[in-house]
Amino acid sequence: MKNQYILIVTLTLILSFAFYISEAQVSVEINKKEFKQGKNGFKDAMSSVKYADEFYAKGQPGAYRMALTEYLKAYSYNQHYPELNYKIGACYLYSTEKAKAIDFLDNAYKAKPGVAEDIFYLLGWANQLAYNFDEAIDFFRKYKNAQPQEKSKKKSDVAAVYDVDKKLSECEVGKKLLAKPIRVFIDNLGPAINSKYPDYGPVITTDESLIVFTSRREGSTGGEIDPNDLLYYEDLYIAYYNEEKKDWSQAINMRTLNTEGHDASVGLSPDGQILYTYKGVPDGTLFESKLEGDSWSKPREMSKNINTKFHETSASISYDAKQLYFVSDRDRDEFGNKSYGGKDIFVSQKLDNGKWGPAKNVGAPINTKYDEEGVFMHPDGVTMYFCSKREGSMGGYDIFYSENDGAGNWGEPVNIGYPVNTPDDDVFFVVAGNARYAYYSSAREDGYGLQDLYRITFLGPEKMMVVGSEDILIASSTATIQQKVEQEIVEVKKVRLTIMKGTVTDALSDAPIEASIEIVDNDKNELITTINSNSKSGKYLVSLPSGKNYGIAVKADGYLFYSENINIPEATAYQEVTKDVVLSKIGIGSKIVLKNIFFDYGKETLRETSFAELERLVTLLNSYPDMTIEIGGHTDSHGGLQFNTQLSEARAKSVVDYLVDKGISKIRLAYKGYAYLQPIATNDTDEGRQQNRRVEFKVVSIK
Amino acid sequence: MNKKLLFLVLFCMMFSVIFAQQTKTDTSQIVIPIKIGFEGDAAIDDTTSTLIVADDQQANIAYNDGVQFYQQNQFDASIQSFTQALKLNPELTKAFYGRGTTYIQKKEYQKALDDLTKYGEKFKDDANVVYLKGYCAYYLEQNDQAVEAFNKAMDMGYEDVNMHYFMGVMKFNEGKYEEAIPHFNKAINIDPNHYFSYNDRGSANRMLEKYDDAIADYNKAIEINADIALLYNNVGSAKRLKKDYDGAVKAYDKALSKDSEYHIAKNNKAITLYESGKYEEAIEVFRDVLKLKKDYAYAYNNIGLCYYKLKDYDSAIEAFTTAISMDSEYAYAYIHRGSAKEMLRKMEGACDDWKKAKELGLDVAEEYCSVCIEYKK
Repeated sequence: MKNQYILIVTLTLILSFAFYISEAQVSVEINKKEFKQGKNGFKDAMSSVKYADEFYAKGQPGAYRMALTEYLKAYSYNQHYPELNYKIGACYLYSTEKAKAIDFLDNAYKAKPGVAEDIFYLLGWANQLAYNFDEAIDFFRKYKNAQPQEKSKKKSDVAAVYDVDKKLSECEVGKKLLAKPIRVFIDNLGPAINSKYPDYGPVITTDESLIVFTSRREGSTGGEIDPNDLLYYEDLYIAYYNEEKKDWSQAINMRTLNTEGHDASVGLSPDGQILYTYKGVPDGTLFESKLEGDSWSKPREMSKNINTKFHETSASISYDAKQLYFVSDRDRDEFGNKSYGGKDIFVSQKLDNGKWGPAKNVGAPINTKYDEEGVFMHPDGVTMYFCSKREGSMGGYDIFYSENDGAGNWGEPVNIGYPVNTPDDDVFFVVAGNARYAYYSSAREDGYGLQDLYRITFLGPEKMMVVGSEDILIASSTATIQQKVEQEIVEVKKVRLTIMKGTVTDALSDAPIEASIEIVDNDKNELITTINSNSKSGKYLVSLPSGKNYGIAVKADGYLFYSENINIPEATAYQEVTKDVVLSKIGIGSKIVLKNIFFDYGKETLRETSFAELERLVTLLNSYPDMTIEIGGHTDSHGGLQFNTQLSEARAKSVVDYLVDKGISKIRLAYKGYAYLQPIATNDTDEGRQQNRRVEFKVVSIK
Repeated sequence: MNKKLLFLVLFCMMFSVIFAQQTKTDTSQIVIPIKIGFEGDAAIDDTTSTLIVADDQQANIAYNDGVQFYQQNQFDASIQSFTQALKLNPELTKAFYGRGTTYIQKKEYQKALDDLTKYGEKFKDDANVVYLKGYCAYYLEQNDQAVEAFNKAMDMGYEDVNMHYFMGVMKFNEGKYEEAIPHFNKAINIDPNHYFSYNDRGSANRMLEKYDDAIADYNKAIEINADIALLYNNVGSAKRLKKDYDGAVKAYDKALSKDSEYHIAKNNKAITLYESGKYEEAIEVFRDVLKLKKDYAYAYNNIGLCYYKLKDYDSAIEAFTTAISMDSEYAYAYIHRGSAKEMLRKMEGACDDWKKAKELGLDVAEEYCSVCIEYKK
């Protein structure tokens, strides 16, 4: 009986010790004799392996993490089993800590070269991730050579070979990018922002004053864990940059926006007033939330032109708020164009009714048969940043940029380079208005755990390094000749953008005002966009790409509008202009300078670039039918008084004539030429004289 | 041989001195072995070439004294005597020649040119004097006049190795390296042992980035005169430029074996180590350079570059600062210091340095400054 018992137990153990894992065709066979810890250790290890294999077979990130935990327990008893090393390596590769895979896979391969059918592939991948591109290429080739010949291939084999060709291509790209790294600082945003959990998906305002991001940290809304990856559900967090402390405020959970499910940040308008978020339900959907005063509106699901039954995952609004770029895996756009494969980037135009129009695939060369993700439109209006697994990536998603020629054509995307890009996935990359700084998430050694948010500072090409060298080249002379140095002008990508920001306040009370800010292209007499200042803070921010003569009108009910003119030549580099706007309530004596009224030189002829401003005046006068006004013409001190009086009066009359022509009663309009007798600035400088040459609008009476 | 002829021979010998070659080349000028004076009777007018013993005795005696002082290398006394002779007899044109050639010995080329011009006004067909005028113009850096004189001398049938050599050097100094080479070729044809021409042709080839041709020329010069450190240094620099770092170091070592105080060769050797990535080793050698020439701004700049490459930006800044303290207009040192400050995120300081470099004429610095206004956080 005793012998029988021993036999049964032994057989049971033998049977249960031989595992067969169908997916990878690898079994972890553990030999009891090799266990130094004896019976208990062997038993524990067996238990762990069995448990782990169940998770491993599921093939999901969370399951790999669970399997990994158990495999590592078994590993603590015995480190020499090739199959166990292989499994641990594979688990690392398919979860978040990919860099740890290589040692285990190496151990497995050295102990048993044929440990698994795909060991070469995994070793190639692990080496690729470790920047060992030559070794990776070697392993990928071995894997490829070991595949069945063309005729006998099954579909899955073809896919595998195809994938390995892409991997080989990525390694070649990686070698090239690694040889010419771009110069950057990559700085962790610190503990106020980052946690030991994954933090990712940063979105910023153009001036980097605010950041919203996604975190899987403890304390998420609902406190539940996603069974797919064993991490807390995504929540949105927000932080503000403190100019005085030169640091970020402690990130806080955006409770009003978060739900118990996934809530991720995907886009933010340049002025930080509209936030685009992603929710996993029902099937990957984009939402929009607006900052109203100091609180965010309830996220509103975007229209059906944006969201479909497919997955929509990221979004970015153009600087003029007229276009929304987003990512979707839909199979065709609403114009019937077939998608390129996987996830593509689409664009929707804002319609006159304020809604988003039908989406269109942005096409080649942006979209490819591979996945595109994380689209970000820079406020310069011409540069699109996105990530893609396309050819030219060094592995996984890489960040690329492309520039629009102004006629709607996108240039060939350019890989932004190493070390920003890595052989792993690099996604969700947003760039500040000055294009010198960018933000993204990365899993780096100096992080607080898993993925953290980082700020990139682009340093531009290597500065010249010239050795002090001389030779006496002419034998008959003592004169030394220095080594010839070519002064190579390095090309630095310049952002031609002006950020104008400030606050809108009431002239008397200093209270912030929610005003609408119209941006007009004076040359085309075309409204570019209208944005609002924040009702609570009065703050506003507008992005003005160079190359336009902008007319800016700040309007609020009951106030005289404020007019500003900013002519930004094409070559103007990045600049930030702070312009606080003070609005005066409409009342007798209140006046404004009409800065967007232009005349021919030395004449009273109105230029067409003035029409947008004049139309605003017409609208105002129509809104207040009882208002009578005076248009005052002013000049600088150049020229005689008589000439300037005549000129300023004639110009004021031209404005009045325009208004009359537009139906405003003549009796409501007075005009006067003040010449240079009421200067508002010095006449000793060009700038001062320019301010003095002006047309003013003054309320004479109103009921 | 009568007395008159004896004097003539002595005079010719006196002015046909070929100067000794030097082996130390870093700080002292290599004197070109030129011939100054009468090449023979054919170049001399009979009435003025002989020492004058009759008529106007006082002037003649002074003239003869001038000749004798010249023989004894007493150039000041010689000039004084020729001047006295001219005072006594302003028509004694030969004294202009004598004084002019003596001024050449004193490297007072403008005065020499003035005297030779006066002599040449009377003896227009004297090709030797035309050549000497070109010689003076060359040293006065009046290249157009020098070229004109040399061409005229050649048209008159005058041939001289140095004339072609000078023509080559002038083209070289104008940066016209292709045009310099044929002149050096002519000099070499006239004198196959003219190692100066080999060296300078090598330098022209170097500037044309024909490093192998340059090295061949330098080596030919070394074959002719193996004692000149400069030649080995130039071999080293050509090899360094073609990235033959081992060969360059060997050549610089050879130069230093000829002249252990040749700081240029030592600096170049250290640069070679720097360029081959041996930064710590390079720093040691640069420090040795400073033992030879303590105020050598280049060496401090180069030490800074080594520290920069080693990512020791504080030490780099210190070295660049020392270089700047020695040469306040060392624009590259400002560029480098700015770059090191940038790496330490000291952007204000970096921008200040780049702006200074821009002020000093380095246009490229303007590009660097463009980031300064954006660096606000």
